[in-house]
Amino acid sequence: MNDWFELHDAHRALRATGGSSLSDIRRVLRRLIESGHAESSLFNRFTYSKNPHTGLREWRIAAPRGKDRKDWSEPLKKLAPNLAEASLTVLALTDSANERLGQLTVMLEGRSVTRKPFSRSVTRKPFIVAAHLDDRHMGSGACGHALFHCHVGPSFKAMPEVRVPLPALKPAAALEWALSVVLPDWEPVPWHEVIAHANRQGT
Amino acid sequence: MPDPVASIANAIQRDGGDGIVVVYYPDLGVRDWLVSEVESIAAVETSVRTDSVKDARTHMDSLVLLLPANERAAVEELDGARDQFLEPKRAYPVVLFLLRDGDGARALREAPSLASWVRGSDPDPELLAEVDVEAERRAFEAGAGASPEEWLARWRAKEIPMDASNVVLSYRASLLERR
Repeated sequence: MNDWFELHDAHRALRATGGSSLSDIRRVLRRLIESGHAESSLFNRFTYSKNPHTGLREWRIAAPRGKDRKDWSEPLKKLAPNLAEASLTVLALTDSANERLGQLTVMLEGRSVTRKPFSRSVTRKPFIVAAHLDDRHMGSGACGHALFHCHVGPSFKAMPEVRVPLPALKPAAALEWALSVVLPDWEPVPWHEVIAHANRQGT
Repeated sequence: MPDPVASIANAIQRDGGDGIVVVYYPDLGVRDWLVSEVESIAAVETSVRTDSVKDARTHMDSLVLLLPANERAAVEELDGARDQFLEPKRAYPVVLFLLRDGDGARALREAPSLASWVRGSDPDPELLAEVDVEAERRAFEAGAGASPEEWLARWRAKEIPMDASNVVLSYRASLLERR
């Protein structure tokens, strides 16, 4: 089968059942806290609201107590070298049964720091790393605008607008990928584990 | 603002995590998901699902998720066995799932001893999660200058610039959208 059809089918399967694995996000948040990248209250702030008429649920990382902001993004610590700041947003829409994953966004916004050689001056530049599962077909097709794709660059609109198709990673794995871009020690499956796994499988 | 996840976490962690917690669910379709959600929020090494109060008592070192077939009978049995749950001290609570306004919930109102024991540790997370749609729609309109439907139509037509704050707004609009 054409690779793009396969990818589209995998994305549709992710949408059909991806909501049921959303709570795995907490496993990743817990590791973030344990490794000192986030404050401890983050674990219980991955929460949801529900529309009682439609049953739709909106998942997000809520602001800590005393900071009641609807567009809160979670600041991360101990970033990779040359990153001055990065903050995390996780958003999802699921159905009443929490089975169907209507939309997913894992987004990191921040600023990198560049120091000029032999100079004290620094330049701060914005960056964005984001994975999106769109709620509908956008653009012209599965190559240019796959249902599940990522953006990495200074902004969403920087030209050329690059949307890299993502494999049908579940929400927690998509989060792990995004974190690996900005955290120096973040590798959920290091190579030695991959090799051991492959050996067990006899491949 | 009441929060469904915080309410579960607070109930489990209250009094050092021992005792009994009641979690209400609105219908059976949501119960299984809510059970796994409690497991995820508790984040303990071992949890046990059972339909028996007697069995629940034996798992002292585990988070016990009690899903009785007869909720009234389970409430009455727990009410009579309170002392057996207090000593020896449990590592994690027993979480009893009761249908909101069901027979078990009514039985709990008729069991003052158990009711006073679980008071403050009896969240209804699904109720806490419900937004006041009309109030939220008014707030959205005041902030964004358009109804959720109008805003989403412009967003989907790419007339609204894609940036982080508008991505967040698009989720809120989708939650409030009339279907």
